[in-house]
Amino acid sequence: MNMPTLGLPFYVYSLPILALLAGSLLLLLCAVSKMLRHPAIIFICTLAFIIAALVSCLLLPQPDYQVFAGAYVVDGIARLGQILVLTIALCILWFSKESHLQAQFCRGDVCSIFLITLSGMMVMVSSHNLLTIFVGLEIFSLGTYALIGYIKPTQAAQEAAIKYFVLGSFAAAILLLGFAFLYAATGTLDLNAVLAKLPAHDNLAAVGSLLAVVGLAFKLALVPCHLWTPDAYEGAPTAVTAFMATTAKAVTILLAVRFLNNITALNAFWLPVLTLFAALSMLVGNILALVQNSLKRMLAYSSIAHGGYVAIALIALGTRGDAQMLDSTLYYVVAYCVIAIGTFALIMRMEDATRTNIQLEDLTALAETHPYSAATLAVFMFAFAGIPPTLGFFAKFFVFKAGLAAGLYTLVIIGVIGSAISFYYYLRVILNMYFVPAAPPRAAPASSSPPASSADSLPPASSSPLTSSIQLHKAHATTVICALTLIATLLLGVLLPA
Amino acid sequence: MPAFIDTHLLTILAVILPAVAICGIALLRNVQAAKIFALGIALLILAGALYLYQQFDGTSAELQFVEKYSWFPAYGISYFVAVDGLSLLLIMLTALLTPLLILSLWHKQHNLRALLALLMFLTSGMLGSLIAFDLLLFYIFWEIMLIPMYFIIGMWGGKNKIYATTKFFIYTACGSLFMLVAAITLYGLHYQDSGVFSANLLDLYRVRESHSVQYLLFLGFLLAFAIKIPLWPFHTWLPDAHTEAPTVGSVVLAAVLLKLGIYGLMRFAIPLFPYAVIDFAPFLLGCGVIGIIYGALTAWAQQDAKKMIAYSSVSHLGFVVIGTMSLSLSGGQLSEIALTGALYQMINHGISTGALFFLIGTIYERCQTRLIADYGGLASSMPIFATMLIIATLGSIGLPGTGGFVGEFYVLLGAFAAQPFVAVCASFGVLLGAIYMLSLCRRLLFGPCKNKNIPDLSKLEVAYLLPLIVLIVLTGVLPELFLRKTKPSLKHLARNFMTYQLTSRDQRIARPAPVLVEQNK
Repeated sequence: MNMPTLGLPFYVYSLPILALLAGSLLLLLCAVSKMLRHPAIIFICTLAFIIAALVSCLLLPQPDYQVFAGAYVVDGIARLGQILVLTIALCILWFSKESHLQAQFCRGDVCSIFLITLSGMMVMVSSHNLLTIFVGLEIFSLGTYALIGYIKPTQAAQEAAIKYFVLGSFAAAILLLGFAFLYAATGTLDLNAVLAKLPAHDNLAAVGSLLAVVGLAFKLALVPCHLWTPDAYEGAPTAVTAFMATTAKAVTILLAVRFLNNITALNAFWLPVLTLFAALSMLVGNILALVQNSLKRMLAYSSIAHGGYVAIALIALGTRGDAQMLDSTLYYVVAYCVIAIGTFALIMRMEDATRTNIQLEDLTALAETHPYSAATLAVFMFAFAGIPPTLGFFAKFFVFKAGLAAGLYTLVIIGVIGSAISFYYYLRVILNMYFVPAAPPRAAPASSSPPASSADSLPPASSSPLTSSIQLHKAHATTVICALTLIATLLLGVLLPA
Repeated sequence: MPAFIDTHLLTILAVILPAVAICGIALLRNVQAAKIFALGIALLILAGALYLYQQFDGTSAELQFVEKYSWFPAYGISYFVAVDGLSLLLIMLTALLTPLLILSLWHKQHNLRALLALLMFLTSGMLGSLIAFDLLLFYIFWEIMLIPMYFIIGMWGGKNKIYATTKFFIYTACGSLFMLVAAITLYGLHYQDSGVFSANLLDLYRVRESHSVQYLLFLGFLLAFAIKIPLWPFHTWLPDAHTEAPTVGSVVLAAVLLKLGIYGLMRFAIPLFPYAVIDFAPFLLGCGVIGIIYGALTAWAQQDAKKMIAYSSVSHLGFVVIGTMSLSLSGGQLSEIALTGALYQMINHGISTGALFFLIGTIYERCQTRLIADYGGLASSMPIFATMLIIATLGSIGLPGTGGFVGEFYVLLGAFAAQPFVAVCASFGVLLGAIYMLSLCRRLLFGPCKNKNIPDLSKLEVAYLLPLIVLIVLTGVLPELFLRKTKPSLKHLARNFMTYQLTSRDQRIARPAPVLVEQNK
């Protein structure tokens, strides 16, 4: 594969990414045209391109493919990553359109950035070449920074964007430095070749692997590198938070799987560091989540903790990689994304233009006014906590199993302690919805006719978050996602991805 | 169709019928219809359980009514359910309780459909944990029980319900997590030994770990079971949960949920880790004795009737633990007796404490107070109630002629052979039990009448209490009737727990012909 060949196969295999890029260009054109600037048109256009990409992704020919010596690869991980990213993007686009963010999100420039970000993610997971990986990562990071600050430029959002941007660029530099060191040590950018040529005891390579791991840990929000997460999650518009919590996390994990699998020769250097990060994440993430009042902030800390659980699987994979461990990692990624996207869809549904940061108290008595939403959210919380009949349990089970199979007893015990702590804050959400009675004497009619009374009943911040009439419409996306979680859980026997 | 019922009886009881009930309750908007439907299903479950009992071959320690389907073939995890003598009586108790619970809810209106659905969910979890022979399947059912209980306490509980239900959930779920880790480790060890993935309990029995590994794994399982039992010092969630829970919650908790901890010890901890059990037995016996004495003394001091019964549960479960743990110290015949006593005591405690919680529930409904001091002289205004309370109390303290006597006698007999000192201390528990329970009776029923105008038990209340009261006497007079079918299994466990193996019977004995046809298809 030394001669670059850009024949038909290349275009076929890169069709998903090309579709996204074409879409982003077209959307920029739409943005400047007065006629095409309407949100509905932009929405349909974006939707069409994502669906086109998704379809072409699903129809990709079966044999794996690589070009430019691994600069662009289509293999199991890449397929999974691309499908996951596009599916989630579809969900996010859909529920943003139905939310108070509609006007801000469905703009040509925003959607264009959105598509470019997606293409960056897809490049990142579909490459064996360190340089391409880095380019993909930067495209997606820059896109995310822009989305955070640009969609709805409130102070909080801009603060979040700047914080994430500064810290993220710093981390990207570290990651790049790590890649450079690896390149210096081995003389190749191709990950497969790096594995073959990696000297076991080489300081340059060791430092390189460490730096790269730290860079990845930042993107995964593992504990010493997690400081941006809560602010970014809380400040960003919820659609973007959902985006960061699911796709960004998923592709980073997939990248980590690919990358760490290829530097196993240096295990002695990076494994202890990652182990420490994982242990800290599970403890600190879970403990700090206990005291949060904002739902989004709580989920941010919970995502830090879940990053820790995934890291167990990654470490297991690095220690003793086998197919089952890979499966359990990927399974966790998919399960986490499913649960998180469902949760964020619900949060979006509860939000309105003035209430963009749901507090736990806002959920009080939600079960009485909106029983279905409450039940759904409760299922998701149980799933996050890993209580058996849910997907979250199986994900956690497989991760613990992988960890124990690799002999990571301490780490798994810490994980268990972390989950034990996590029960409290996940339960708090359910407690507030079900058990805490509405504080002020019930504004009974408020629940029966939301549109009329939403203005009147603002002062007593009582019952559930009252949303506008679009609410009914939105329930579709969320119910579908909830149903998917449950079905996936029930049909688990058949469902083992990758 | 009958062949299908025969081969899938356990699945029908534990999964299909409760699921049908939940769907039905969800679909039936009319509360009355939902109630009748739920009761019908509960009676069907009871009928199925009676049929199971009747068909169960009581001469063999083999697993019966086996159903096994591959679930995650790559991981060796299967849907594997069966029943043997250890679980038979508990299944019966659970099945009996469900219709009684539904009857007791007949006139309550607040969110009744949700409560009924949760009860069915809970029944499914309890029956499921009793029949599961795959470790993962067991864990799933075991954890499933938490969710309905959490909502039952949280939504229909007393003043302090949020605290109580959170404590309950976190306490039990934490214990379970350690069991999960131990279970996965065991599963890994089996893989190392045999090269085959399997979460099948019968395979895992064959794993023989070194002593130190057994200790750690045993501790993992023990933590989960000890919290559930609850063994002193892991009992603190129980009084809160019991006190704050609505009557149905308390009854289920006392009658079945706690027993599952002991069942777990018998089914999992002892046969899987025999060496660890032998070495930990003195420690556990100690905890049991402390639990008996401490529970009894604390119960004595309570002002709150429900709390008193809750602490009496701690005390009674101490007996069961002693009976279970004597197994490893006394040999042969006597350990079998101790084990039989433990099993029997579980059933008795379930029946009598269940009845007590029901009874306290009836007067709580009338007077909205749980404080013993608010009552007095109920014997004159509520004679039926008084009679039933006294029978239930006598059953609880183990008067000869009630099941409690048989159970406690067996336990003490076995325990005496194992550790005379333990048996002597435990006997004080019996004495203390008589003191506080009778004083509860005296304070509620006799003395100056403080509650003149409250009506006696209605027909409905009598209807759901009477089966339990009859059973209290019946278990005392005819223990053989209940214990007959459990003997081979108990004997097998008592004699061979060091090298425990179970075999499963592939087809049912009672009706081999249709089953064979079924299998040929």
